[in-house]
Amino acid sequence: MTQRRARLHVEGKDDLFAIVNLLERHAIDCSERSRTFDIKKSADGAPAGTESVEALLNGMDLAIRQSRGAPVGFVIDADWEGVSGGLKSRWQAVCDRLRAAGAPKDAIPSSPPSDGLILDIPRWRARAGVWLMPDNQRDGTLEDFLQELIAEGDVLIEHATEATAEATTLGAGFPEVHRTKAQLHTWLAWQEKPGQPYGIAIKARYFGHDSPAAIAFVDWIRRLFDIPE
Amino acid sequence: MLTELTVENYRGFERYRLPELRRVNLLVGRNNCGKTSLLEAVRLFARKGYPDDLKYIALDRGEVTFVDEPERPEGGRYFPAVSHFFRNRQFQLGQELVIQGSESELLRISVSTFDSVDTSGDYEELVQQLLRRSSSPTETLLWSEFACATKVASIFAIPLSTKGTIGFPTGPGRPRWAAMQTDGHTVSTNVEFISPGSLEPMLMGEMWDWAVETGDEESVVDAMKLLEPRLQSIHFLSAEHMYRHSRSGVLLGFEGERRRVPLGSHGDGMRRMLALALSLTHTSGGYLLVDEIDTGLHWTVMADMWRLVIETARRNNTQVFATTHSLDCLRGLDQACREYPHLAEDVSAHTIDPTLEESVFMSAGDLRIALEQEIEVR
Repeated sequence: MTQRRARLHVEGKDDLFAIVNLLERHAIDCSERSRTFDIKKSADGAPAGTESVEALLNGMDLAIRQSRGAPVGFVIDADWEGVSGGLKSRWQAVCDRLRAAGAPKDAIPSSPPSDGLILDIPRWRARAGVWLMPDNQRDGTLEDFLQELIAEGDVLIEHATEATAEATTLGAGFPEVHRTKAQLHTWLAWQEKPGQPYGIAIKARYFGHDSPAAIAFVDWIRRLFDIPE
Repeated sequence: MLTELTVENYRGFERYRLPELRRVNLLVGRNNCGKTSLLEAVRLFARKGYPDDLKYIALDRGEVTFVDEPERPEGGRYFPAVSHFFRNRQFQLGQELVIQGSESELLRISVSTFDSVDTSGDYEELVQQLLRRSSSPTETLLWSEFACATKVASIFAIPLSTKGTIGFPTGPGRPRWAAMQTDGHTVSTNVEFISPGSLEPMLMGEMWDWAVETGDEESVVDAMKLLEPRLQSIHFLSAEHMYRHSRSGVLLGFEGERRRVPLGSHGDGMRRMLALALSLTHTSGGYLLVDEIDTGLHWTVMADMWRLVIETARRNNTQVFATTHSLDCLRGLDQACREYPHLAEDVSAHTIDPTLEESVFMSAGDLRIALEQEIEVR
């Protein structure tokens, strides 16, 4: 029986391009022809009105049961307490899906491991991995992971942070949970090529590549998909 | 109705389980993954291991062995071989396969000898029937035993040749097999197996005759109305020459139209649909097994086909098992369940991978997620 292709499930295109370009900077070839695993964003197929994170969680159990020996990974925002209950309840939602996919109850840790979860589920010959953005330890999103890739002492990010705060007092309408996103896009507006999306900004080295969380994330990818150093 | 099925030491499977069976069950997977074998397992189980079913399954697959017949001037012939039903494909004494359904119903098929069969009690007469005419008491047997809650319900004892072929040549005066059936455990006749291209016009004609005889022709027309609401009647012509060409012989009558239209004018799809509608009526209260259900159907009619199958199966209390490896067929099933949400609860899909111990069960909801997120399920 032909083996399935290994696959990484992510929420949307921001996640996809950010991850691909980060991995490229760590010398993991993600070009379509040579990559050892597919990356699939769940937002594509999600019915209108469904949050992409919901679609990703809903497909988790099936993606694992159908994986048949090919590792399958999931990158999910931990999100914020006001949105989804944050890290703790997102982890709970993940655990429910892993159990539905046949993971033995005592094999699932009570809180997410800081270096990312990798779990074997023998019933389906499956290997499943879960990474909660930003670092498996805090509430937050992809943007909090990216913000730590900005060099320490970068004066523009300090200015962007202040400017965003000031914009709020002037009536800027973004919700509080998107503050980091607003800061990042403000900062991206002031780069050599203004307003590039995350992926290209990583490729262009506006962002760094080796924050502690990024190093742990790349290591998780290598372990999950069995990619040698 | 089967709610689960487990096979052991059967064909490519050491032990394999189909859980969560519903009214209509679609088995998906790559070529040679065992989909058809599982369909045949349902057939054997539903027919309690009836000898003719073993014989026809082997013949359909071309699983035959040459047996010398010195008394025949032409020499020997090919006969259905039983070895292929077992996992190691060997003809071997003591070999046994098991097909287990829900509610502790169990079919056990084993290779045995007269010597080793317990000749006391219930089986005595059965064995005597065979012994009386057997050439040698060590002759091997295929022992097909159906038990319900550990009580034996029926047995077929089939003499085997030294090459392990079923009962033939039996020689003059020798029975092809001996049978013992307890009350209420006769073999059901409402089990139909359709392989691609197996529904020839004559067979459709036979099923139509059967529907006419039992007064069920309306039910066939009703099923076809799901596709063609204006359809009023179906007519099988009786002159023999009509069947010489595969497309003639069946006419359809439409509302407000006096002249009847040949079924052939409606293309292969309609013909296949009629075959399914006839089979569903023929298997009322039993099982319809369809290998490669999408054969001959354009992707645009898949959803209609599924609606016909599910609605009619429900109406006739038939349980359906089908196989496919076509993505269009899966999309059609999903589309039918989206357009007619009440169908979803009667549907299950199963990915078959013999390297696992059970099928990957998918509800209609799972199937939708798989298609939306492009999760490969075949």
